[in-house]
Amino acid sequence: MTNDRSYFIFGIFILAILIFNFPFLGIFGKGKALAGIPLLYWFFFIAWLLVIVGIALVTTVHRRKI
Amino acid sequence: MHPSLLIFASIFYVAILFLVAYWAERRAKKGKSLVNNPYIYALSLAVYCTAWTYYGNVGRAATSGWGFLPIFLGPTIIAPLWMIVLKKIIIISKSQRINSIADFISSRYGKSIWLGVLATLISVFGIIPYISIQLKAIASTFDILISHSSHFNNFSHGPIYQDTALYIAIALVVFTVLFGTRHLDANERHEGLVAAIAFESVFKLVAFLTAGIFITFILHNGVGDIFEKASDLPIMEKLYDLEASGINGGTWFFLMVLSMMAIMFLPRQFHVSVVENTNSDFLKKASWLFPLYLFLINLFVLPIALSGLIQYPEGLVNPDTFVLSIPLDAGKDYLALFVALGGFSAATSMVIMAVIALSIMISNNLVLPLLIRSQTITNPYVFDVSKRLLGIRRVSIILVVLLAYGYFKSVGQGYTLVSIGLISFTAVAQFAPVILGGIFWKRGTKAGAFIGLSLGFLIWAFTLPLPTLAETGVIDDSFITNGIFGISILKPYALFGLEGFDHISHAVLWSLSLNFFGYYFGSLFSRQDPVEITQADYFVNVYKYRVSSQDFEVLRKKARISDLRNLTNRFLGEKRLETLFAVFEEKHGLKISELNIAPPELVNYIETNLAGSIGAASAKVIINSIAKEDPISLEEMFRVLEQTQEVIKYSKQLELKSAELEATTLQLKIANHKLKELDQLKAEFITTVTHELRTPITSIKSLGKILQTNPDLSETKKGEYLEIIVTESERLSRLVNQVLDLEKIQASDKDADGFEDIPFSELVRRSFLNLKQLMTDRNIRPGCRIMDAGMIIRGNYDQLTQVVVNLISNAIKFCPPVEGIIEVTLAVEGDNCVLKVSDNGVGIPPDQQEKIFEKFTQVSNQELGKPAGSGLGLFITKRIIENHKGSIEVSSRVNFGTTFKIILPLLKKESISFGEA
Repeated sequence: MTNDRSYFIFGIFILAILIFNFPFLGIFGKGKALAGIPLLYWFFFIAWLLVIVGIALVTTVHRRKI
Repeated sequence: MHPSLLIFASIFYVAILFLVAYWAERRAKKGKSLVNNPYIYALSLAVYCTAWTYYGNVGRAATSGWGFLPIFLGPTIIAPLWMIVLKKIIIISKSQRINSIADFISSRYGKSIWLGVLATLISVFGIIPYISIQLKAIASTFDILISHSSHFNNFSHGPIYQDTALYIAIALVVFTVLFGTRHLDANERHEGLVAAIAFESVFKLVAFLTAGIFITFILHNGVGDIFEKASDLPIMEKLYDLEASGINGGTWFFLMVLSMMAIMFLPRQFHVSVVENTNSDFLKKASWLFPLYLFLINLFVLPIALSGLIQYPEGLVNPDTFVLSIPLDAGKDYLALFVALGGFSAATSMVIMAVIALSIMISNNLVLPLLIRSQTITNPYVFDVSKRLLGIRRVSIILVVLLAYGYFKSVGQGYTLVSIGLISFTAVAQFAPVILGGIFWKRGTKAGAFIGLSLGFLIWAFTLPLPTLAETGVIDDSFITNGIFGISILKPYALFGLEGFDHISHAVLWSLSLNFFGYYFGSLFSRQDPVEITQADYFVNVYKYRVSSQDFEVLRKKARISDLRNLTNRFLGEKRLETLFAVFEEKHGLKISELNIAPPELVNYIETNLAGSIGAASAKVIINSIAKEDPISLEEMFRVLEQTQEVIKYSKQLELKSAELEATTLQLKIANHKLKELDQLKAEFITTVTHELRTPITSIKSLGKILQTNPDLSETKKGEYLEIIVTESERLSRLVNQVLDLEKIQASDKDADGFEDIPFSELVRRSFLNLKQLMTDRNIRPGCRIMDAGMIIRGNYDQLTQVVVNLISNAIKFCPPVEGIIEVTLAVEGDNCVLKVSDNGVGIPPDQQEKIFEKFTQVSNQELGKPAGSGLGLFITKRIIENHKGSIEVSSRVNFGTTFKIILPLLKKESISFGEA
């Protein structure tokens, strides 16, 4: 594991903590809806998927020094 | 639904599990491991998703909106850090043969027995509520399917033999014993089990997604449709606004932290992710595959919950059963059965894994250390220990499941799945400070860990499980409102006056913070013993040890081989003993059978391997029962005190340097000695040379004086005297020349630089031709036979010429005045070329033959008087020959002649020819 990779690991960890906690979560929690579905529902599952993709990129990209 | 169908389906499902496990173990034996890949590894981690996830999530969502989610977001957030934290734990555990979380903690803090016991107790008491909710979930699903009553709590009012949960518990015990304790594996790895767990993970995901798709897209028209239909329900407000659902930032955050700790430190998670891990690189893929699994299994939680609330608005159906009730009420019996089997798989996988992990801890960290302390096990006549260990495991499995059943009967029925599950999460979160501190902070001590864990455990017990016992009427509940012993600051839900938090956050806050500070300050105010220091250094700096593959023992234990053999045999069996010894012999190049006392390395090696089967603390105690510790030497004391690897490396360098210095000193001494010797030789040499020089000078001087003072001497006398003067002067100059030669040779003594390839045959021929005239002048019959014209040797041309000339001149000198014969022959003998110079002169008496090669030795002969020459010729010849790695011999008979023989190493032969000389 390159040291660069561990910086990215910590980066994604801290980012995920921030977006999945208050006060950031409050932005999406104000009674708004999109296509009849609460905005929070969209946010949670899209952000979750993005974080997973991010982890996959950071942990499995080889050779190239990320 | 008829009970027999349900029973048949369950048995069929279990049979499939057995087949999967059997298949995996057979493949493992063939070396084609099924579980040795990151996908199965990630799936086995999904043992995290239990009945709580499967049923409880929907229930939680139906009552509190988003409150179910942090438990799954937490593991996702921490997943990238696995590459740092979990990888380190795995590497440490593999090299130290750690097989449970209690073993890990005990091992890190000086292989402490009592820490192992404490960690085991926390795990057992912490996990039992968790197991109990699985029993509850399985039993409820069975009852719902059979009675179709859709009520989770109405099945337990009857005689015990009608209690479904009891039969479930018994079935689970049988299943776990069959799976997990078939044999005692040295590393506690169960490939078949892992394969079965992975299969269950796939099955429960597919079943839940099937239920979700059925409810969302067949009963309703997609997610949007469900939200629209539910728009009038009170729950909707909570889905739009987190704070409206009573979730504040603190609660949300604490739930996430709890789940982050749980995913790593739950005993079953530790078991699948660390103990059963075959390759730490699998973490790379698992760190995104596992969150993806969580994502998928949560996708339909809200739609199912809303659909249930739409369908049962009166609240008659327990929301925990929505997943099952909705298909059942839609008349899809077989779908319901499939979904129920999914829940069955979620619950069984958790129970099996958790119970196995706990049974390993109970046998290795609780029962065994106590047995060993009571000395029954070290008795040589005791029965097979490995069988006994399995027995202990089986009994602990039964015990744990029975305790869980007891908790379920007395407490579990009054609470939701999630609220009980969180109690367990809070218990295992207590491991976080001592484990994380243990692998990153070298200063953490046994005492600190003990204080931290005890404080955390006590506060957890007081603030979470104790009130549940009171609320369900098992014990008096007055302390909840009044505080224990009537002390108002000791209320379990408002400890030290802290109010306004939900029960879980309150408990997490107090237990974890006191645990942390207890550990932190306890460590700062206590000292580590030597075992702790080495273990701490190993755990924190494991990568450095891996790179340098150094041994890390401080206490040098020694034991008799026979004792060690008996002990290993009893705990690991004959076969494994032989393999272990063979591996050690190969690694260290030793023959153990030839030893009487086992070296510390062997004792350590056996201890580590024993630890794999019975835990580090037990292994330490057992080894100590037969081993004696060497008194710690000054050097080792130094190691203990300074602890860091850097210092060890530095001192090793110093050792090396001092060894180098010693060697240099020795060389200097030798050189000095040689110089002294040479100095003495030189003094001797000068004495001899001056003496040799003085003789001719004296004779020249005296004759000169005679000529000076007696001018009237006769012409004949004058001529006679002048001739003597000339001869003596010649002798003088020859002597001076040879002394100069000698100096030159000695200066180039070890200097083979000037060497070149020399055509030796040619050299001999030329030297001979140069002297041929002189020989014929003296009536000597010269003969030269060179057998091979192309002899090449390495050497100095001038020096070798001098050798040949010297020998021939010597021969000339000692040849009789009439009928002299000189024969020079050069031939190849093996790898050498041999030069012989023979004459038929006076010969050398045997007692003189040794001396002729010394300096200034001349053979005096009564007839001839003192011969002409300096006495240095042969000495110089010998030195030159020796410089060329050759040798010189002489053989002689008085009055018959002398032969000098020179042997020089031949470099090569070339096919050159020239005429006979």
